[in-house]
Amino acid sequence: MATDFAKISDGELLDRSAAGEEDAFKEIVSRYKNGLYAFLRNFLNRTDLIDDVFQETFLQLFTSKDSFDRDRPLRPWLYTIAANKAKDALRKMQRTATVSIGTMSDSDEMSFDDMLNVLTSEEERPYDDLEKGEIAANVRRVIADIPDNLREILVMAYFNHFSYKQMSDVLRIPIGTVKSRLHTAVGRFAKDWKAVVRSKKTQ
Amino acid sequence: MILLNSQQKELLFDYCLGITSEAESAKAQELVFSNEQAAKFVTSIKASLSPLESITPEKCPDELAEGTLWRIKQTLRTSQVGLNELLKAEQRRKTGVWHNIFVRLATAAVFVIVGSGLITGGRLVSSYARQMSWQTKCGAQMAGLFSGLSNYKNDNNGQMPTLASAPGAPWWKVGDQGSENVSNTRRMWVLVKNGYLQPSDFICSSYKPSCSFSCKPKDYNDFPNRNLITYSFRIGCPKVGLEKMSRQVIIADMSPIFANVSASEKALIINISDALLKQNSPNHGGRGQNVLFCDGSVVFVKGRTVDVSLDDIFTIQNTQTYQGVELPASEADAFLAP
Repeated sequence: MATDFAKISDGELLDRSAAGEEDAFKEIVSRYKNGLYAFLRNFLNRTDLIDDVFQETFLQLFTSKDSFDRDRPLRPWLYTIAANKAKDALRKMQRTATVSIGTMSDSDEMSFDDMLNVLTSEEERPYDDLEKGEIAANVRRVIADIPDNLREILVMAYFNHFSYKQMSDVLRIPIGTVKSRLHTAVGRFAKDWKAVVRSKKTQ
Repeated sequence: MILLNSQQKELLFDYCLGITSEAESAKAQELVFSNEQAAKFVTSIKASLSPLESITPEKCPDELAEGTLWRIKQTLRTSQVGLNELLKAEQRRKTGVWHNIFVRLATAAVFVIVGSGLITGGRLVSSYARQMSWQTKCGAQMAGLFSGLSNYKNDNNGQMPTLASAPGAPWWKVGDQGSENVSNTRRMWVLVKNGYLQPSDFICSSYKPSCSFSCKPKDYNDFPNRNLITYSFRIGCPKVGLEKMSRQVIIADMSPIFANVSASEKALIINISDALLKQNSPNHGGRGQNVLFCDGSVVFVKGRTVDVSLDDIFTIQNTQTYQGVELPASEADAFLAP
């Protein structure tokens, strides 16, 4: 009788994979491929890097599966690998392109209230004139210009719905830091988006 | 209208982002229904975030998922991890009742044939053949170590496993589990800890350890003791890329000089005698040693020099006494220890 892998826990799938059952790891890939791909698509925004990092992430999961603590959830571990690999890929690319690494400095940090002010400031809802596809392309561009350490948190929170605790586990940073970075990231996005729309209107 | 406090604002902000738990979401919804300012606040935040909704989640392309599985299969084929996986799969496959009976019958037949051959024709299996077999197995095992190293390197920006150590720190205390890096074997333990290699990969097939490893690798900082690591590693791992040092030795069978050193000793002092200079690794009965080069090739050498420079791989040039902290002066002076 064929095994119904869909009902098996991640930990057991890894055990079965370690015991040589090829389909068990296939199920792991199938479970996480879409979420991971969406994360990398929004975080990296470069097809060539996305494919490499996606494959490298699962490859590392496969080669180090024996060291994974079966009592812990797999998702944060997988995303820790992915986030690290994605940042490595960006660093490598930025080294080649002699572009500085986009990380936020302390002086750029935005308080919760500052962020709320940006979000709730009275301005016309600006992008009605833009076509849907154009909006998405511009939004992607704005996200891509946000420093890496803010962008990863914005993507994890908004698109992948990670809780603060999960983001803290994945990125190995305190929850307080996750919160302040998320507030800064959202504020930064809102500010930059408004600037984009303003510039479109003046064109 | 009741003004919102900062805790409520944070809750509503998290709710708009979709990162609240079920209980928190219920609390936020209740607040929105009961407080006009909360409703306005949520509307305003959602409006500011609405451009993000234009990005619809893209599904992973099938060819990427398939390509990933294909790549894993390829790695399986070429790496030591793969050999282990295949072995496990093979063992699982062979658990059928009929298969067991068949194997037992076949084994019995082989015993009968070999036994009768021995009685009538003398020894068929010579110790030479046995040693050759171990030697070959050991070489294959070393090639497996190279695969593990290469996989690690590929996953880590081309870097070999490295660990920080204090200046003048010893490199001979194999089995010390303290926080300081005091053994050259710890770099290899990184590979075990991260699942690139198994502890058993580091025991030469001709060597029968007096103990086995049964604990979780992540609980250790180094190999548990000398008995569980029968190879020696280059001290001062090459800083240049492996590919540029294709004929440099990186791993060899256990050095005869440091074979009996124990981490429990307080200090190390070894004077190199003429006899010690001539000894080969104890792994293959003193007949020679397998050496692994940076290009992944493995060669069994009958002496301790491996190239035209006649550099002894187990000693540092012009050094007679070892206290376990010495380092070679240049990349050209290969030194494998402990």
